[in-house]
Amino acid sequence: MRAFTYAAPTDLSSALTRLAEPGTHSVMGGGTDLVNSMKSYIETPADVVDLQGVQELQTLETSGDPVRIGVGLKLVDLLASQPLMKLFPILNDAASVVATPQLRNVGTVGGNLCQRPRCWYFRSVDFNCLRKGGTECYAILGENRFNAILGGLGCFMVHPSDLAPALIALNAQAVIGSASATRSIPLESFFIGPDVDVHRENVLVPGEMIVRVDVPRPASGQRGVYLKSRGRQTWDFATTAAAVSLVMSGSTCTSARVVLGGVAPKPWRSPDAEAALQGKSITPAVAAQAAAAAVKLARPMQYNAYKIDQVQALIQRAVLQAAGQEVS
Amino acid sequence: MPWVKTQVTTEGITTEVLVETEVSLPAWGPDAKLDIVGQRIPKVDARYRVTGAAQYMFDKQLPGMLWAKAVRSPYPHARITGIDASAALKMPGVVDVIHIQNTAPIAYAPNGHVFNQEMSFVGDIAAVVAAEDPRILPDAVRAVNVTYEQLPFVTDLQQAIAMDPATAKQIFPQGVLAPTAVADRGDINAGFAAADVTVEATYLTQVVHHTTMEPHGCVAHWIDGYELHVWDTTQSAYGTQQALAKTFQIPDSQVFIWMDFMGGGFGSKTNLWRYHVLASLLSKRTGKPVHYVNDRREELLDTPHRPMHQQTWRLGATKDGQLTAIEMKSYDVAGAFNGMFTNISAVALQLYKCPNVHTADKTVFLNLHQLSAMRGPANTEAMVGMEATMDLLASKLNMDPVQLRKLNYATLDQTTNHPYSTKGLMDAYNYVTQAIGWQTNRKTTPGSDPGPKKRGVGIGSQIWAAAGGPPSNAEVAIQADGSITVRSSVADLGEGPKTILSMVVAEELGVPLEVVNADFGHSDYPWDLGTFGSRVTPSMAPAVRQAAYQAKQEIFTIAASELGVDPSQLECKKGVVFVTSDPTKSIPFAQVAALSSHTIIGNGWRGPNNPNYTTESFGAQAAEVEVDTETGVVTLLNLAAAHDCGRAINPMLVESQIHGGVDMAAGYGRFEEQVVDQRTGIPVTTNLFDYKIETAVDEPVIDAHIVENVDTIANNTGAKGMAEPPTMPTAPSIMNAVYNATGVWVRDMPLSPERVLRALKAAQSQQSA
Amino acid sequence: MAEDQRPRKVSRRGVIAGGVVGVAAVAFGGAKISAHSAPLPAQADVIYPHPDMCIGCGTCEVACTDWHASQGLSAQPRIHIMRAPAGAHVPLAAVAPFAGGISFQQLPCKQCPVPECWAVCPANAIRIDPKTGSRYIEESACIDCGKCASACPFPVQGTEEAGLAYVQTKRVERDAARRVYVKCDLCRGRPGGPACVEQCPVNMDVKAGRIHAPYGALEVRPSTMATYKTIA
Repeated sequence: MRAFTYAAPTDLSSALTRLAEPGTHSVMGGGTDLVNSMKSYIETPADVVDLQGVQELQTLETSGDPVRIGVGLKLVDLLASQPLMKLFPILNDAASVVATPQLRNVGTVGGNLCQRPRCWYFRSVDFNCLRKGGTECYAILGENRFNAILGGLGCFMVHPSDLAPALIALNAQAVIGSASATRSIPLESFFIGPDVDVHRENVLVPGEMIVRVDVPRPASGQRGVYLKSRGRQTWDFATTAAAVSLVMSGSTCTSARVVLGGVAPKPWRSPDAEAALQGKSITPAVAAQAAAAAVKLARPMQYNAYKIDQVQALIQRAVLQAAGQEVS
Repeated sequence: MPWVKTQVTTEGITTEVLVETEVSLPAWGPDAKLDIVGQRIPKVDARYRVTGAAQYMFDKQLPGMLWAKAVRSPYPHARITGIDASAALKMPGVVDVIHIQNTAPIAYAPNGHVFNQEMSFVGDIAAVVAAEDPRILPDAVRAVNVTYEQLPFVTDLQQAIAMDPATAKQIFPQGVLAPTAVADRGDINAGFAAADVTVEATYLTQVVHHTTMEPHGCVAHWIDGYELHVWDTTQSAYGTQQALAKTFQIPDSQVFIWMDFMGGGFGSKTNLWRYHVLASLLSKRTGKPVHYVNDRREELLDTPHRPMHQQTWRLGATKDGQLTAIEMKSYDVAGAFNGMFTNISAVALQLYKCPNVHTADKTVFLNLHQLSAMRGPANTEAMVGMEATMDLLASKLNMDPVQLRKLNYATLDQTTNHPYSTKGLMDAYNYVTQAIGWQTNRKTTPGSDPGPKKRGVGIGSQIWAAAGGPPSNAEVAIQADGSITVRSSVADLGEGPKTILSMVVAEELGVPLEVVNADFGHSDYPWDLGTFGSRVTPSMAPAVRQAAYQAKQEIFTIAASELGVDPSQLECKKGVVFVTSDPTKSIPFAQVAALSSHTIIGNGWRGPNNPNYTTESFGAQAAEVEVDTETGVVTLLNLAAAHDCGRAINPMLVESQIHGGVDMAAGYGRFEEQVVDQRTGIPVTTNLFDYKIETAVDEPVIDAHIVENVDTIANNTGAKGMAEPPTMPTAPSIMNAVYNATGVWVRDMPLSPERVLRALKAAQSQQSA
Repeated sequence: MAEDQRPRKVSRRGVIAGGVVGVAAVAFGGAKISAHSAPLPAQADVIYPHPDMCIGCGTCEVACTDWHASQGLSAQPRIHIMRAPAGAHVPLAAVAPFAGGISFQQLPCKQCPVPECWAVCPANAIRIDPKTGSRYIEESACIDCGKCASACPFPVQGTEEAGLAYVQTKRVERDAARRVYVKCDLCRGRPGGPACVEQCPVNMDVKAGRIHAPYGALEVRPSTMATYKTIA
């Protein structure tokens, strides 16, 4: 790795001040992605700001509206919070399938949301891919079985976060801090695709970091499910994933949010699937229609057409489970 | 004892050896009353391994030691046009950079020389940097400027098969396809003519890596003109010693290979590798010890692997299920250089009774690192094609797959017409079918479970040369306090020879296991050919037994004089030497040892195998899977494994081998594969995340059963080899179970979700077409 | 060469109305055409797409964005992938596996021999590059009036990919953030020529012999009266 300076601030203000200084900085939550990325020269910050000592980032407020989740919280902390898991079972679904218990003990919410892609061309020191500043996306005509079926443009990585689709399905807000200002934007808008900027995955500019995720309290009748399909049963990113949050009135869905993972360079909200559910009585046929709507414009690459079927299955199952119907 | 010429078959390869016949000892038959052998005893060194006390090659620290790392080719085929190490040499702490321009050529098989002008695969070595601190190395390696002229390359099997010879010769002087190696028995055409039913299928079995927990490397210290000392991780200290001495043209007696603990080999550490030569060379040049170890990316680029095969199997049978013809044609990918075990014909020739067999193996060269043996080489891959095609035949015959196998059970070795010394395959079939609930859990109509999640069961078998054989030598030294040292160059890879061989020695001597200490892995000890081919137990157990027996004779001579009896009247049990007819006349073993005026050393060697029998290990496994036909995920619910290993010297360790083999092979069947970006020839699975090894969570419940068939024809301990067999039936049983569950064949390994979904979809569109 | 003997108006519109044909390439600065000055160059290069080779990867778009951003110009892509109307183009066998059975097209500026946009621009912002003949917009001169966009006679057809930030409606388009109009300029000044042509992965593989096809997905060809009409 490139030589770097290191700071371990104990308050958020100091961390933000440091980020505002000239030079490249990376913030470190648990370091479970950053350290590996630095060893592979994917990240070459001149300065690393370790946030593990910043208590303000580790607060969890579950009694108010919105519910406030500090980005410094470890995934195990989320899972251990009974109030949080009771409010948002979808977060239990998502957090519990991230990585391995060891990684959940160390990895943070912020790190999970801001992690870099897993596309093996991006991760390999042997390829200087488009996202890393090269001129070529090797996945386009290469080994693309894990790459995107939606939203790809020039780069076809898939966003690897499990928490992101679930939080976006909950209509979460991302609170972004810098030395000069704080702003709150929908988490959905926090992520950007290669159509906006092929070199980064979110809207953060130098000097900024995400500091908190705010989640509106669930409405009456709100139920959410996150389903993830992967090869191994642990320590594997999603080949496809579906986060579905429905507000149900009896068997009728009054509002729906459907967000897909593992299929696009950013967590992929599907308005078409939502429209197919809104106002409907949820049945297997309706769930199948919503799933088909979600992938109508999917564009398979040479080796990933299976994702189109796989994600539809997950959407159907998640919809039916969220609607309170048991699935075989 | 007289010397004889004998044939020894290891890993399917038969060689002729001149060997001394062993001292005749009474065989430990099935009714033998044994105190220690046969007990379930944890590994004697387990505690050191799990507490971190064990010292591996990496842990070797010597004063002034340098660290080395290779500069590697980014191209699959390229000619070096320039090497400029000046920038690297200027970096503080960088001591030396060696490459083709500043070293005399050193012959090294099979690459030609240690440094070549032509790079033959991504990761091939262009130069090596030595520095005072390992943290300097990544930047120092990057600072060596090597320029290349890119050359035509091929890394895709289909491309190689279709390539015109002229283009192929631009890539490899021998072209990309070797002449076909053919084996025949009977008349294959007549065989198919006599068949009522013929089936054919093609399988693609993938490259998988050994991924030993401990990476490859060594610490070399060459005191020039004096001795070369190497702390190594090797399956054959003796082989490495000889090869290294020959490479540098120095006497064997000046080369010492030492090893205490080793973290896995699986066949990837049986040879002299380039790092042995490079580290030694750097040490000679710098006068300092040199530590060379691969990082994980280098492990996945520049070490060998199980080869890829495209196997086409055709079976012919009568309508009653008697096999009349077995044909196997296979493209076997060697990599950039040839190696052994590309030929996978043994299973077709041996496993099932069939008068007419034809096999054709064609080695293919691609710009990738060459293959090597990997746990059950050739047979593990061929078993996939054999067993899946047997199930295809069974389905066409409308016959139960196990019934079909039993019907074609071979009672003798059809390649030599020798009977098998023992064969417990029938018991194995019976056990696993019962354990997996074959009658209830097997779908009589494949794919008949309603709903998207479908279950099924499948079977796989296994055959593997398990006789062991010479050369295997050991000595048993009795220390003055009565404690015992067993010495041999044999390697303990972690699977437990230290334990079982100590048990054999303790049993033969009649002392407690606790006083026996196994000191293995040093080339200056009596040599053993190496730990591979499942040969250690059947080769070394008799050897150490004989060594113990010889040492015991001296003990008895001394004790006899002390007790005033004839040595033939004595025996030893639980550390006490006593007169059999009057046990009150006794003397502790330790006391006898103290009386000796010279070190008591017993020598043991493995004699020839019985030439009139073939000794193989046999086994079967049955898998129960659940296939989610909408996501493609194959969950392995249960796996029953029954293996015939002769006598189980330590049943706990035999079960451990079964668990380990099944775990490894479950990954071979479902997740692991080397993926190469064909446009650039660069592997993309060069880390342990993208190269997907199965985890503990993925493993099924394993019912491991030992079919004990004490085999005293094989050797006087009754034990056969058991290290590799458990790896062979697993993937076939999964493939067969997936067919039973879904009614669809997935023949492209591994059976990852995307392949399963693709196969299911293709079957669906074929049906609707 | 047909010539109109009537005295010419000073405006460029008049030149087009006069139906000048077959004129040679001449260097232009910001000066208007005078009645007796050198005529409008008709010979230009143009990005010539082969929709039956396009796999819709969008590398051209990203390459275009990156190059222009690096030059301090509008980063809005000047070439964009649209899904072709059903049946309009069938992917060639060589790229059918990569295109997933869907066909795509790219609809950049056709570099008209006699450009309407050039004629109507009141600010002399649309100019001709002497080297390639590309019709480019000098951003510093553009007054964001939109007449060029209105004047362009060539529509954009096809379906947008789902959820992408940039939606193409015309061949010359507005960058609302920068308040200028933007169109393909053949990467004027870029060594190696147009970035999209150089970085197109299909082009790279055709060039390397990995894909066997008579042409790539994007080429640079002369824009003649005959050529440019055959482009989509």
